[in-house]
Amino acid sequence: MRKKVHKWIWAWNFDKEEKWLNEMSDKGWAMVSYSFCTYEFEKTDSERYTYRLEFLKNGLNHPESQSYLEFLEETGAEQVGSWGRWVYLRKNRKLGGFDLFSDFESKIAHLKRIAFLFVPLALLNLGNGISNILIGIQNTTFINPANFWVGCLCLSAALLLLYGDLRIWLKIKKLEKEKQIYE
Amino acid sequence: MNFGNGALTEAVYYILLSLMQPLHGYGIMQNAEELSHGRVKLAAGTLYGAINTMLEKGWITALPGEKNSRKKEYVITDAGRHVLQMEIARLEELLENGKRILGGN
Repeated sequence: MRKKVHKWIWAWNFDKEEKWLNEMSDKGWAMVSYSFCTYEFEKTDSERYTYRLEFLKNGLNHPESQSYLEFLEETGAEQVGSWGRWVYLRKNRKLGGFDLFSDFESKIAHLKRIAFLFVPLALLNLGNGISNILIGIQNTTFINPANFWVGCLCLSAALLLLYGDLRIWLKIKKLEKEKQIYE
Repeated sequence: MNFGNGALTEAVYYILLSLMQPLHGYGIMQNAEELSHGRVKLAAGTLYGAINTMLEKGWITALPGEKNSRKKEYVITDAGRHVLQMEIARLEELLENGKRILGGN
């Protein structure tokens, strides 16, 4: 039996997404595929999986990504879905625990990859937003509503992305503090 | 950054020790866990990154595998053995000082 669940999760909450998928697996619903905002689950009576998400260094079809995914497969993990450079991975709990990163260094490197992706997008939207709003209100006798609203939209997108970056940055800071003391 | 006398990470230390015999990725994970009595669990992504860095440094090398087999085996090099010896000397210093000052038992 299969079912589809539509759900939107912000990229900076990927740890919550993992938690949700693992809880679904606890209940016997194993995620088997992902397409935009749609998770497909399969009912399994005996199999339980641990799910992990990773934002790859390169595109999915890049040889480096392929060799990395092959390496993960050797350790018992399998890829069940992808979205851009995000991959959904799982490992049967019978084969043991499943984590992608076991030290601060690699956890921080992963978070930085995600954070850096948002920066240019946020700046682009910020620039677009401000210039459109300025054009929109330039002429006080004739406010150009289209420019103004497009500008507001871009500005909101920029703020959202910057908020996402802030969330990830806080996670990085927390890990870096620990790293000063522990390995 | 390497300051010349930097400490190895636990992951690197156990990977090098494990590769005194040829092993593939999963074998390294199992061996490190066994050696440390279940304490050190190397995560796959971290292990992959460490293997690539050590290959670049020449501390380990990939064995020419069979054509059909995708699984790559790795083994320690002379340079890797040297790094391990240096690390063991450093750890001995830590241990001796700790026991002497704190009073070991």
